[in-house]
Amino acid sequence: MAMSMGNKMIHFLRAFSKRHPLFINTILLVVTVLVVCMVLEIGFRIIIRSWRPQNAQAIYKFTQAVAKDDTRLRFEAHPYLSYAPTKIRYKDNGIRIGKDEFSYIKPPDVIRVACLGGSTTMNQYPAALAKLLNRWPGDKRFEVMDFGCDAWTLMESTINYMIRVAAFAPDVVIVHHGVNDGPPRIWPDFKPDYSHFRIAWRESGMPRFMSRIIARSWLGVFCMQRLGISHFDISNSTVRRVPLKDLKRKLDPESLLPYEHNLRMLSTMVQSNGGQLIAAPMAYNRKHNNSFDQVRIQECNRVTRSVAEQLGVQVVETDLLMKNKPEWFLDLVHLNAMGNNYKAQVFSMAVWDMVNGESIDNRAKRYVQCTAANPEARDLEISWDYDEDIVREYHVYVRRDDENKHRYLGRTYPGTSKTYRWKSGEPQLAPVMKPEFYDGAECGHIYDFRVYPISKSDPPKVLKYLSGGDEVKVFERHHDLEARSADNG
Amino acid sequence: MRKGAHKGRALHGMIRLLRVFIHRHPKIVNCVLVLLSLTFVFTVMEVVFRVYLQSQQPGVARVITKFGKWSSLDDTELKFVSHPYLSYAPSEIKYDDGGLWIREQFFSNKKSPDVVRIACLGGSTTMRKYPAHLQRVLNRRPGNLKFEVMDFGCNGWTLMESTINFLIRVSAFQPDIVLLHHAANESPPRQWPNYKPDYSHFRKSWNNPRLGFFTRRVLSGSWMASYLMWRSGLSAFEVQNLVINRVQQDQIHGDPAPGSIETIKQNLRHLAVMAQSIDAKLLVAPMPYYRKRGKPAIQQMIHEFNQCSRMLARERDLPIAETDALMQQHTDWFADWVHVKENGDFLKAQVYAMVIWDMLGLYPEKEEISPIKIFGCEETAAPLGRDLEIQWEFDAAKTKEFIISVRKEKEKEFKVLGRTPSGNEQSFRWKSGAPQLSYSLDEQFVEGPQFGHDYYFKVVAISNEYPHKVIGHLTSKHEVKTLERPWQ
Repeated sequence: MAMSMGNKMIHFLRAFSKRHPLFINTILLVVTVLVVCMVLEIGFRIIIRSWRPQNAQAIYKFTQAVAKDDTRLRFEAHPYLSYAPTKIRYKDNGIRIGKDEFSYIKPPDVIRVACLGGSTTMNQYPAALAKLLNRWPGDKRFEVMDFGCDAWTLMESTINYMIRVAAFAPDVVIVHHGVNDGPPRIWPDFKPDYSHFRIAWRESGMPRFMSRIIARSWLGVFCMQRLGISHFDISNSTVRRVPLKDLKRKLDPESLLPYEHNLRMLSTMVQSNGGQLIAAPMAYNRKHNNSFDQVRIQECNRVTRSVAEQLGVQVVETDLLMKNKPEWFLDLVHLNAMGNNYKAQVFSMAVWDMVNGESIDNRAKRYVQCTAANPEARDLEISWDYDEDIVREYHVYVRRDDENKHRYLGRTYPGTSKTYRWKSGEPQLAPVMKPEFYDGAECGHIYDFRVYPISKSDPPKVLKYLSGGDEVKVFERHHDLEARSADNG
Repeated sequence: MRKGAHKGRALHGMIRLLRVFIHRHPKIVNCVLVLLSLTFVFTVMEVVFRVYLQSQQPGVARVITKFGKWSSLDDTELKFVSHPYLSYAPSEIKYDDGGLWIREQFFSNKKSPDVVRIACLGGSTTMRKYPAHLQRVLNRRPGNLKFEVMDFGCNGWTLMESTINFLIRVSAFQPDIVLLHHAANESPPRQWPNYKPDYSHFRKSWNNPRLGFFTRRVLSGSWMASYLMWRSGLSAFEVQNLVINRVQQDQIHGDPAPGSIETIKQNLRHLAVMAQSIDAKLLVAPMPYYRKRGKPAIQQMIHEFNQCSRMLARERDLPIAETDALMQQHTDWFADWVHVKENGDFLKAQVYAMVIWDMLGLYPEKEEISPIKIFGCEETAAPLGRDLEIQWEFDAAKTKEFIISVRKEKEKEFKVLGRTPSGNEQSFRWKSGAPQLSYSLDEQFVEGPQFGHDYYFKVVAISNEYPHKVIGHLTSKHEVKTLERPWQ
């Protein structure tokens, strides 16, 4: 029975192939092409893995990134910026950035900090900066506006300041660029307005699903890379496509002029609007293997520092400590949470000094030299306010980053003393401290404090706890400059 | 007789052939009939619509006729290119090794020391308008300075584009003077719905419109189609379809969006401080406009912009060059509500040249009234006429006299203006209302030079030896210089 079924089947197929020779031929052709492609693909994978393992890794990353890319959701076309983040939206009387809203008219007790930058700013340090700044002692409220956007150069940020940011009258503007101004320098036919590099948003030459399909093949990815197609669709939509071989291998010093020029103009505009500029050179990973990328960042940083010095603009270095922290870097410039926390920590000190009228000489010493001397040590002073008559002592608890519980740090007594000093290496400054915290707070972490007042009653009772930026203030001190230099001397 | 019969037979044959054809191919015949009747219906509709529109809404009818005309003249694709930071830019401005081409003129990245650079920022009242005249007028003036006038205007640009353009392109060319002549294009973004301070509600990235260039051209032949396109917010100028968010006519607000003036003030301020930071002086040139054309709301917005720029100038002690008072005396020089005919551009160039000359401190006479004062104030009565001094250099020892001839802008021949008393005189004064200053002035030129006209001069030197001969022909801008002085 089964035999006859098989026979029938074969018979049917024979008859079919005789009747429709074209159909069969087509199928055969397709199968052959597929097999050849498969063989080519497998061969290519083997060859490139053994021959050029670095390229293989890049290709693998490309395939991963293409699948994850969500450009269309995160960015939109803009007439004057080529593209802009969709998370920034105008509202009736202000602007919304992510979840935060900012009104055109700045309330009188608010200090506004605008962060300009590329992907090292967008959704990176600004949130931590807002958290840190809002727990400094004092009644001032800080609003941190994250105006960063992936892959923006200083050109976009300067225009963005001009057409959007300035209307919100930021008191402090942090400009943190240096890496994205590198690609325009190696694109062919350099033009000072970057129009050789950037293009107005257009739908990329290849439909999205096509590139996704092709990106499954390593050979396809290899070809795409050669043609200058990026795994980020935003680059395909807003950067002139140039084959890999046409990119310049040498840097022309003239191509650095727009960066310098934009920094000058930005400083001029910020000053004219009554704001203060902080120039933050780009921190980068010394262990990253592409030295040409590093050179471009170094050159931009050099310009940032020298222009800032000429114009009397505050330079804030975040690079000095991070030179020794390659583990904080995800790649050449992007950081993990610790790296961003560290940036936020340094920026918050700088903003605090600026807002409180510290002289620029002092500030310069702090952010350019002191951090170099001993950047790892921290000196925090936790303070709070509570009804002292009923309180015998305060217990201070601390929670690091995203730990799920607050841990006992130490206590302070009597109830009149409402501060607690936590300084690296000097536990004697606090009345009682748990030995595991003697080393002090570490850089790269955000510590959240809770203060429990203990009542004078018998038996003593925990009255409640104080927490959050409004109730518990944290003052971060700079290390004593004089003492430090004496140590080194 | 034979011929007639032949003709009749041929006709007969044709008819028979047609009958057979109709009989055999009824489908084709039906199609043709349908097409014919459709065309007929459309024609009737179009005619009825034209008659209706012209009688009921003559204003709209005028807009529609212009729509058709402009659509067929449009050459956007040739004149403009997409730009990442400006949405669009004139294609005639091109970077090249070591500098920038603006049409046929090359401007080097490194400005030589004897060059005075003037960057003109503006919209369609600047692009290909007064800057070329300004350069010519300035370069005819005495002295060794060379004037380079950079026309950075672009049709449809607002102050927003010009400010960004200043940041990313203009400032690198170290202009000494930045001439700002905006106002007209600022009203559309203020009227567009959903106002946003970065103009992203109005301007968009260069983008292909749904209707192709060709379709639009064909369609705009019909009034009805033009009307529908106009209502749906399509523009006769392709560049506007490409770079402006399309909005239906009735969604456009009549009055400006609240707070929209702040964006203008901010851009003006940014422009002023950026210019200052590169040691350039900003020269504010308010926009003259024709009071009898255009909607009152739009005139009001132009006025508001002018006032903002005047205020900026007063606050920052910047010079102003007013041309409005003069233009109001010559309203026939307006082509529409803001664009001016060539005479208007001559007038602008003459006024700006005087103010720029004054800004550079090149008027030696201290007692003269300063052009910055005359043209810096809106209320001051406009000057009535002009005061030119033609200067040249030639060997005085050999010359008996010089004969000066003049040619008005489009005239073909020079006419004798006057002569000098001797060969020692190497200048000739020609001033409106003061013919006595000229030694011998031809009667037809007694009125003096007039605003809005461009004069070319030729100086002929006559030998002092007998027989008197022409020994020199001075015509070029290097040989004959013209100094214009202001007077009330």
